[in-house]
Amino acid sequence: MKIFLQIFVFALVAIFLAPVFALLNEGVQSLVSEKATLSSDLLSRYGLTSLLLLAGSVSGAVLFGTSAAYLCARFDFRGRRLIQWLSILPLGVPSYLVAYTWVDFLVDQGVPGGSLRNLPNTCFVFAVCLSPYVFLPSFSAFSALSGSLLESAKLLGKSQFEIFRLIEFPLARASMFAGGILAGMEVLADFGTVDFMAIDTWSKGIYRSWFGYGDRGRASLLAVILFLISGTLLFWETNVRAKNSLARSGRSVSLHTRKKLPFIKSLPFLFFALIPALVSCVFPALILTQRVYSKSDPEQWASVVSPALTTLGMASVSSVIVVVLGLAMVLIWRSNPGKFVRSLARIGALGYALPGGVLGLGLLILLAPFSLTGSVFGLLLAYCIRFATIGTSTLEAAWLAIPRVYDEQARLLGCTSWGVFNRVTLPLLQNSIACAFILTCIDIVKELPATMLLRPFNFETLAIRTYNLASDERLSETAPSSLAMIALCMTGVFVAEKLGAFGVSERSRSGK
Amino acid sequence: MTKNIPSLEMKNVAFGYRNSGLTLAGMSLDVGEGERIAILGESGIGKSSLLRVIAGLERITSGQIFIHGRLVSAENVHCTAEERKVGMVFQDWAVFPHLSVFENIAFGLRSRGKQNEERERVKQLLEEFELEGLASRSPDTLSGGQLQRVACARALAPRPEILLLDEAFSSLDVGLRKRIREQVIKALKIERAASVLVTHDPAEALEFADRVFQMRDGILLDAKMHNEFRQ
Repeated sequence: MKIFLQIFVFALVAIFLAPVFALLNEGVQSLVSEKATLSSDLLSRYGLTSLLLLAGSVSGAVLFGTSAAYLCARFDFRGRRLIQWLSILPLGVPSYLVAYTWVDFLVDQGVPGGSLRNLPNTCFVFAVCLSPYVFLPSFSAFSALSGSLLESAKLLGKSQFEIFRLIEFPLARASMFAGGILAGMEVLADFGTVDFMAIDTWSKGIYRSWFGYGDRGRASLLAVILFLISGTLLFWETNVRAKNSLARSGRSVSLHTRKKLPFIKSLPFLFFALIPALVSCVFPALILTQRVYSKSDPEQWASVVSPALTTLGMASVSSVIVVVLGLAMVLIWRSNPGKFVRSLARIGALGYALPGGVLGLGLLILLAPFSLTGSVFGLLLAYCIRFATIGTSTLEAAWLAIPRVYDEQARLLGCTSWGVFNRVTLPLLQNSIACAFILTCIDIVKELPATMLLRPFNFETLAIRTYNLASDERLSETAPSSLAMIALCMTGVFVAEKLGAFGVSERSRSGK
Repeated sequence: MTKNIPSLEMKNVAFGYRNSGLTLAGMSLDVGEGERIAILGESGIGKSSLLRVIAGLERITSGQIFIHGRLVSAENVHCTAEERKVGMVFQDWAVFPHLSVFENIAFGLRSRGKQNEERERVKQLLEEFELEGLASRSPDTLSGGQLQRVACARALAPRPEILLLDEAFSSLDVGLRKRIREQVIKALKIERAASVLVTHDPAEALEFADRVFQMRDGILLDAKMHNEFRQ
C-alpha cells in the first residue's frame, strides 16, 4: 500500500513539474547553442519594472487590506459586517477587468487614454484587487488576539497607539507579510492587466519573446526565472505561515471584545476601507450594467452565452478533478505515508508558483510532440496543475481541524480505514469540499494567460472574449462578458463566504 | 464473576512514544469478566496511553495483551482497533457532530453488520441512559451531561467485551458525574462487560471500581481490593 501511494504521489509530482523541466530543457539548449541570450539590458528592464510594480502593488494591498482588517477586527461600528463582506469581494473580480472598465469609463469622460496607462495606476489597480489577500490573514490574526493580553497592556498604562505598536502589530505582522507575498505572486503572474496598461513586466517579456520575436529559448529562460522567483516567494510564504501558526498554537485564549466606535468617528475609516470594494467591484459593476442597458441590444447577450457555457464547463470539470485530487491527498495524509511522500506532495504544491503564462509555455513545449497543444485536454491539465494547491490546501486545512479522536472512535466502533473516511471524514469535509470547488472555479473563470496559450481554435471563454475585445480597443463591447464574469465570480465568493471559506463570519470567530 | 479466562490480560507490556522513554514499563494486569477496575495517577504519567494500547490505537514495544484469551498485541502481533471488541469513552467524548444522537449510538452497530438489531438496541440504550426524546437531536444542541451519556451509549451499543473510560466523567459537575457514573455501572452490569477507568480523582475511582490501582513510573502499584484501598 505504501509503495502504491509513493508511486501515485511521485507520478503526480512528475506531471506537475514536467512543464518546468520542459522549459528548463528548452532554455538550456538555446543557451548552449547560443540561439538565445539574456542581455543584462533586457533583464534589468523587465526586472526593474516588475520590481517597482511589485513594491507599489504589494504596499498598496497591505495598506488597504490591513487597515480594513484592523478596523473590522478591533472595533464595532454600524456597517462593520458589510465592510467585512465587501473587503473580500475584490477576490471575485480579475484585475484586468477593473483596468479595462476604468480606462474605458475615464476615456469616455475625456481623460486621454495614454495618460491613464502608467505604473502608478497599474499599482493602484493591483492594490485594490489584491487587498483581500492581505485582509483575510490579517483579519484572522487581529481577531485571534487575546483579550487579556490587550487588557494587561492597558492596565500597564499603554495608550491605544502603543498597544498597536507594541502588541497588535508585532503579533499580526507575519500574517500581513504572508498575505503580501501571495499578492506579490499574483502581480508577477499577471498578464492581462500589464499588457493592457502597457507595463513591461517579466511575464509580458515572456509573451513578447515567444510570440513577438519567435524566440522560444529566451521565453523559456525568462519563464524559468519567473518560476524560480515565484517558487521562492511561495516557499517564503509557507515558512512565514508555519512559524506564525507555531507561535499561535498553545493555550486557547479568550477573544477580545470589539471596542465601540461612534458612527461619525468611523466615517473616514469606513470610507478608506471601502475603497478596494468600490473601485474594484461596485463601480465597475455599475458602469458595466449602465453600458449594457444603454446599448439595449439583445444580441449582445447572445454572443456571451457560448463563452459563458464554455467557461462554466471548463471550470466545473477542472474543479471536480482538483477536489478529487485534494481528497486523494487527504487520504494519503491519513494513511501516515512517511516523510518521503510528504515532501514529494509539498513539491507538488509548487503548481501555485507557476504563473499561468509560464505553465502555458511549458505545456506547449511538452504537449507539442503529441499534437495536444490547443486541446481541451491541455487546458484541463493546465488548470489542474495551476490550481491543485487550492483544493489540497483547503481540504488539508479542514482535515487537520477534524480532531483525530473522531477517527479513533470510529475505528473502535469497527470501521475500516475506508469506513472512517466514508462515514466520518468525508461528511465532516462537506463544506470544505464545496469551498474548494467554488474557489477553484472562481480562479479558473478569471484565468487568462494559460487559457490564451493552450485553448483550441475557436474556443472562447469569458476571459478570452473580454481580453480579445479589449486588446482590439473595443472596450465598450466587453461589458456583457465582463458583467457575466463578475456575476459568476461574485456568486461564488458569496456562497463560499456563507460556507465559511474565508473565516470572516461571526460563526468562524466564535469557533463554531 | 469468573476469572478462568480474563476479559483482559496484560503481561509485561512495555510501550513508549518515539523519541521519549518508556511510558509503560513492563506492566501486567488481569481484568475478569464484568469486573470494573480503576487506575489512578497524576496527569501525564501515561494513563491514557495504557488505554490506547489496550484499544489497539498504539503498538506495544514488548509484552503481550490478550482479550478473552486471544492474543491481540505482542512484539510482532497487532490486531487493529476495529478488530478488537473494545469500546472507549474519550475525555472529550468525541460525539460525531454530523450525526444525530440516534445515528451516533447506531454507528458501531452498522460497522459491525448488526443493522437488523439497530432500532431495538438503540432504543434500549436511549432508555438506559435517559436519552429518550433526544434521538433526532444534533450533538451541538446537547448539554455536556447529555453528550457524555451519548458517548457511553455509543461505546456500549456493539456490546464490547471491554469498555475503556478515559477521564470520562471528570469534566462534569459533581452531581451529574455521580448520576452518569451510576448509569454506566448499571449498563456495564447488564452487558457483563469488563471496564477500565483511568482517573486522577481517588473518590471517583473508589465509587466506580471493584479494584483500584495506582500508576507510577510506567507500572501499576498498590493493587488493592476496593475495601483495603478505602481504609
